[in-house]
Amino acid sequence: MDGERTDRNDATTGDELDRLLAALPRERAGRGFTDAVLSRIDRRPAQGRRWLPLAATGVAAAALLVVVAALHLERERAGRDELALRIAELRRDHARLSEELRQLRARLRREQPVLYLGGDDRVDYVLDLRRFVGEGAGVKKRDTSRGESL
Amino acid sequence: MVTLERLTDGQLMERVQSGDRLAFAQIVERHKDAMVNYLTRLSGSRARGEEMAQECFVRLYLSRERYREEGKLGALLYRIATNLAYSDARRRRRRQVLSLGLVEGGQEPSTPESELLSREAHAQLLRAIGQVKLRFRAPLVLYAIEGLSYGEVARVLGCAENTVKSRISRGRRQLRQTLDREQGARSLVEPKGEEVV
Repeated sequence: MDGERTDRNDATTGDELDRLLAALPRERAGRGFTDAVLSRIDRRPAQGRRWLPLAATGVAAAALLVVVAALHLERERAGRDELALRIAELRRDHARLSEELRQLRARLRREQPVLYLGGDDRVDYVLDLRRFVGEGAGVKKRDTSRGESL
Repeated sequence: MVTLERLTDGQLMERVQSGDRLAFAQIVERHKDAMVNYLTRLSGSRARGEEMAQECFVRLYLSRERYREEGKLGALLYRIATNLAYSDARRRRRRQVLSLGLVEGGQEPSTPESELLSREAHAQLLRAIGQVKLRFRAPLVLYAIEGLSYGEVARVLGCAENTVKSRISRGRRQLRQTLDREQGARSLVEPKGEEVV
């Protein structure tokens, strides 16, 4: 290193510390230091290449993950579409049945609410439907089987 | 034919850039002791100092293409070494490992008493250097141990000369305080002399 020692002399006048520090024994490189450095350099690119298969594996794993995720999303989307279709179908059925029920109830109110079930010369079997207006049909099933006469 | 020993650092680096490994080996030979000494003083460990010095030359080699000759290969090496020491210190702080091996690597004493006392004084000084904060220790070691000028230290550390002076001054103060503390502690535990009853 070059000069510039004048400031050193000014700054360290009377300073024992710098003298002590300068008097410390100097460490020297161990035997085989240079060879160790050169062999480290030789190893370094090899270490770099060691990352390549690792990086390739990582990229492949990431790609596989993307494909699996895409398939999963696609399957989920298809499932959602099918469910939506099914729900729409159910809604249409529900609307149709509601409409039929409404019409039947209206008809019951308009017409004589009996249902001819059969009979012979002596007797006619009819079902009094007024009892079903506004009620669940299942409740009165027993009556139907009995075939009450009017 | 010119022998490698006679070439300047710049000429050797030119050869290194064209793939001459022997030229690089010559650079290592030329600077290895300085780097090992500097990094040993910074890290407080002979083994870590040597290890980091090797890494320092490896980094120089790997960045050889970017080297531009300005007659400052020594300064560049000290800069790489300082960065390595900072990284090492950060890593060690993270692991919360205290640096206590400041005097390792010394040979076992089989020497006269005066030399033993001298060794003890050196060991004490090295322990104290290890207590100085790295940002003050690096310029102090570069200046007082490696013998660089303020300007050279400033170039190595990439800061202003006045900053270097201030840091060295604070480093000395910390060093002195640590030594005083050690002396004080020693005087408390050691007998002051034989008393004749």
